Amino acid sequence: MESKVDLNAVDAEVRRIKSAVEKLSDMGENFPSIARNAVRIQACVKMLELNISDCLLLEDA
Amino acid sequence: MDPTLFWNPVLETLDREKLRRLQLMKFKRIFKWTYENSRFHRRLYDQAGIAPEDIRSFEDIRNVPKVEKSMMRGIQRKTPFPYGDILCVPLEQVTAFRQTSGTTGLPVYQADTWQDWEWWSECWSYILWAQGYRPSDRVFLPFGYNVFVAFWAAHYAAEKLGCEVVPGGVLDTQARILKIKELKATAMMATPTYVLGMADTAKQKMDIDPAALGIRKITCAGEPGAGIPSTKKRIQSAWNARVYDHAGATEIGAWSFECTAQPFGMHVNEAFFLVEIEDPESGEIIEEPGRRGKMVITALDRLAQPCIRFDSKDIIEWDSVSCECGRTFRLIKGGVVGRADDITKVKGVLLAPSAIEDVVRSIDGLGDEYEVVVDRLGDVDRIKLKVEITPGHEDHLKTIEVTLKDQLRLKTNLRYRIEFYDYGRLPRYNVKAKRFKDLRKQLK
Repeated sequence: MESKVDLNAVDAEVRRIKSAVEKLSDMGENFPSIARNAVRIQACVKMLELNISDCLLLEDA
Repeated sequence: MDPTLFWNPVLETLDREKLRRLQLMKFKRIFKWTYENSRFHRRLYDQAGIAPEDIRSFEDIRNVPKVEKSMMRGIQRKTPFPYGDILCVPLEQVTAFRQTSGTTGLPVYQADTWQDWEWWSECWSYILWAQGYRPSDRVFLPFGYNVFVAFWAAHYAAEKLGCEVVPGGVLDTQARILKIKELKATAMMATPTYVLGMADTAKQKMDIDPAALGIRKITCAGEPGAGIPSTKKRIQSAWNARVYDHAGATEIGAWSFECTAQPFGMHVNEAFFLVEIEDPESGEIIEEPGRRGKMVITALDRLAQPCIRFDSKDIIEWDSVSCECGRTFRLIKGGVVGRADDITKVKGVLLAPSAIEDVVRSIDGLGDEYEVVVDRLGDVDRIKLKVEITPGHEDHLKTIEVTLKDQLRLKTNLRYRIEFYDYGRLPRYNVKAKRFKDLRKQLK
């Protein structure tokens, strides 16, 4: 089905969030409430990658 | 096609060629990850002389050794405790423990990280959305929240969808029914055995008609029942609800589901799983519809304790039709029709216990419960079927017996000794039922 959503734009946002959460995670050393919440956000971001970004990898291949 | 019918309108309608390319890409990725991070898998693959660079096609995948449950039992309960050296991540990253039910032997432990757990609920989100669950639903979960994965991930998926989830954990059956009534729950998930048992309790012990409780969707898992036409019909009629089948497993994940089109089969979530069907005799991979075989399955995104070419022993077959729902995920006809462990030869005839269930539950006057006992006298197999007569049908015993024997002979090619019991005399089960007893194994 042709998606009305711009998948490339979604993927770009996913990458941006992923990068931001990685930074958060790095800042969370000795700060459990940052580090552990970052782990949870990373898991959600991964689900967005499985749902959207993987599809785009097919185009690149 | 209405895109709101899909949890992921892109992946669920991807054309077959792209879907296959996606599966191959993901298989290569998970295989490389596992090869590099799990000592158990590395040993297995090194012994077989196969490495990530050897996987270039689906034919190459068939050279990857299968993993059986017994192999996992062999390495677990050792250092690093309790999973042994199967994990791909340090123990510190494990956030959830579950174990298999132990129906076929020593339970297998399963470790998940938070990401794996998120993945579990993502897989279930595909299922629930396809079965019509929406944020307006109030979902009741009548299962014991414990070490078995059961409907745990369904709970989190329903929350992810935006449903209101009511955990019916430690309540007994009557309290659960009262809670459904009190809260006007609209959907429920449980094993088919338990769903029928709840309806029976409501009617017989509480004078409550389950059909009037307002449950409109029931998702069944854990047993083949919701894929057996007569069992599905009984549940639907008892609850006045649509009944959907689902199959999953602790070591695999939630890999298949029936959609609202109900094409008498289940979709495999092919964006997240690779299912191969293997001929149990020749080991040949079955691509064409209509031939039953054993499922070999790979979870394409499960990281901590991967599931790569797992020999599930589930018996399935591809369907030849595509579903009117619009999903391009292939269908397996009639769902999981049995397990290789359960399908046995009696008097030289292959017998699947689900065929007996289909007959018993298609006959008016027989209760939902039954028990099959196979034993041997000398060199001759004998098969006995115990059934219950529902109240008010005692005078029709002879007619019921004739119908039952005829249908059994027609559907299973075997003759049975029938034993009738008063209603309520046969055992009731809360989780997975054990209705098939093969005493020949004890006689050996």
